[in-house]
Amino acid sequence: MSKWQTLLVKEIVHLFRDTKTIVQTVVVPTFITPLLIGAVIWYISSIAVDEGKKTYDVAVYDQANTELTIKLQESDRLNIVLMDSIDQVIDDVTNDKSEIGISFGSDFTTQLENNLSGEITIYSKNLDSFSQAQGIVNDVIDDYDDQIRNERLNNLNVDENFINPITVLDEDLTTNEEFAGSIIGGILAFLFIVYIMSGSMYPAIDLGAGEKERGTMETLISTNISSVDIIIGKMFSVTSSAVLTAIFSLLGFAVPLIIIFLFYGDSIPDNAFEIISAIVNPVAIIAMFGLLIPLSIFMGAFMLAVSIYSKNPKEASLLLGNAVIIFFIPAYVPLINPGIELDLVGSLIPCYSFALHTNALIAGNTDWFLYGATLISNIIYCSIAIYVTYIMFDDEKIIFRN
Amino acid sequence: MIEVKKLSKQFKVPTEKKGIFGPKRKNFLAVDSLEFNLEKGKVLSILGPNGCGKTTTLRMIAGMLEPSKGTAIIDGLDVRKHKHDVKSKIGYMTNNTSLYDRLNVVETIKFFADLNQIPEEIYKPRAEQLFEQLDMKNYLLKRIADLSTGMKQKTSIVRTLIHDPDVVILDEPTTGVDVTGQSVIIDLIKSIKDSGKTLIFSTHQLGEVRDIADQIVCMKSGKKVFDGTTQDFQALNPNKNFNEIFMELVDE
Repeated sequence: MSKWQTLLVKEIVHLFRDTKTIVQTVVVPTFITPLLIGAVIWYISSIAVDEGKKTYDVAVYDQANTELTIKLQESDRLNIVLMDSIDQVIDDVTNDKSEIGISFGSDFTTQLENNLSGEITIYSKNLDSFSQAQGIVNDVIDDYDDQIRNERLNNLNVDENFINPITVLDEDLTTNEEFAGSIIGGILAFLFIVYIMSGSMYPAIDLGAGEKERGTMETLISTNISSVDIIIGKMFSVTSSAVLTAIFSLLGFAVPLIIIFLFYGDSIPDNAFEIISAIVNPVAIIAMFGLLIPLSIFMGAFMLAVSIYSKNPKEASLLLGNAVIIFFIPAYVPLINPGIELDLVGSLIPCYSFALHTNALIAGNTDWFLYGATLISNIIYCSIAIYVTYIMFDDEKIIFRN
Repeated sequence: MIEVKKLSKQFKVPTEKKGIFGPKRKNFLAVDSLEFNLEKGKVLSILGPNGCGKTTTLRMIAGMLEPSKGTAIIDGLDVRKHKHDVKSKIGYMTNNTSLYDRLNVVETIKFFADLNQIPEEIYKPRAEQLFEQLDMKNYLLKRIADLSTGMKQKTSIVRTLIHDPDVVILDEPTTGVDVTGQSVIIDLIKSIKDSGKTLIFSTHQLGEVRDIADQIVCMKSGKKVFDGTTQDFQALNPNKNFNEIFMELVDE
């Protein structure tokens, strides 16, 4: 074995004998994160299911006892509470006694009878995104609105189409691959980047600032091993840990999916299979890893450089905690804007380009010219980061900074 | 043969004055034009109070720090020009037991043997001999984290000697070791001396110096205040012991 290989084997053995590394690399991505995500999804679904069965209190001020109030009372999901004034309605909604408040204009009935428009005010607090109250109320009002409109048109002997000259039909041509790319691709890329960051941060701190603090760095550089061998050995250890974390995170999501497909396959919609098969596309996976490896090495070398510069692990954690935003923000942008398209400038931005390429690879509409630009730029960033790490390592002022 | 020629090292150290980016820095001469020669197979002890430049001197001789001025020649190799060749000739032990906590003793020694690219057939008997000599056989498979300070120190010594260096540099080898451990380490240093290797060690234990060293270099504030044999050292004041002579030399 060459010297860097000897160092690499030692670093990996040393790293993976640490419980913290095992927890960070294997336990958290494989078990804890999927369990947490599962728990959150279950909790949100249970709230949504509960909301679907709930009856909502609606405070109504209607002096004329209009037909619309009667229709609202007919809804089995609404409990209409009649009020004596608008102030009472507002007070009820403000104090969360009613979910929704409705007040009818004093001339509501007269206006309708005169073929004019009656006014209704709806009071609500738009904080509870799960509440279906306003939707139910709006449906009742829309139905009543349609009913009145049709009555008026009938009275005038006018066809309904007279006031609807254009009929718009929506045909969504989004393929399952494109849907998977825009939604799941963004999440997948974001999770990969987060796990590469978390998977490389602790080893980088341990193998850089940690070794300086424990004095083992001094022992290592006292031996006849070159700075290049040390950098390569340490960087591959950090990268291996990062890639392993990413692979385990993928397993963490794949295993529950496989279980669901095996045991509950019949109850899964057909297009779900197509969406999953779009993700499990060998070309997409290979191309994704093609970008992921130089990106992991770049991030690992960057973190190692910061760690080596730091006096101790505490300083390294502080610096890296702030520095990871450089990777985090570009990966987050495509997640919150799934429709965003990659251009040449974007293809040169690390993490951002990876996230968008992941979307495109899953959707099957990759621009291979931009893919090449990203790959080359990542290799260049990677080389620069390795060179900076090498300079750091060769500088005794930095190595003995503590 | 080791020749130390006008060896100097300057550092930037923080002052009490504050600047925009932290404390202002000033130049500090940690080692100032140090000169001495050490013949092959001899033992040199570097003495001096804390912060006098002992460790910096040893690190420069071992090729770990670049001298600001001057140089050290190790068996004809200039440390400034042939850093890696010099490193392969030297076994350097730091002043703390800096080893990998999660490796066991055998793995640690094997790692350093592999770094020095020692063939298996040479490594095995050499390691066994050193383990035997230092009475380490009972804890070879224990992780470094589970060892006492003395055991760690012994492991450090074995890893320093595993590539059979011509020159051995030990920075305060008995610091933090109990009396029994100190005695074992001193016996080992004597056996290194008997094997004909050149040895430099720094220490605060003047008793060790009297028993082992052939030559003494005493430093104060980066400068040499004494260079001579142990007899020359004693001759500075025949009525006083080594400790008292040392205190007089460094004015403490």
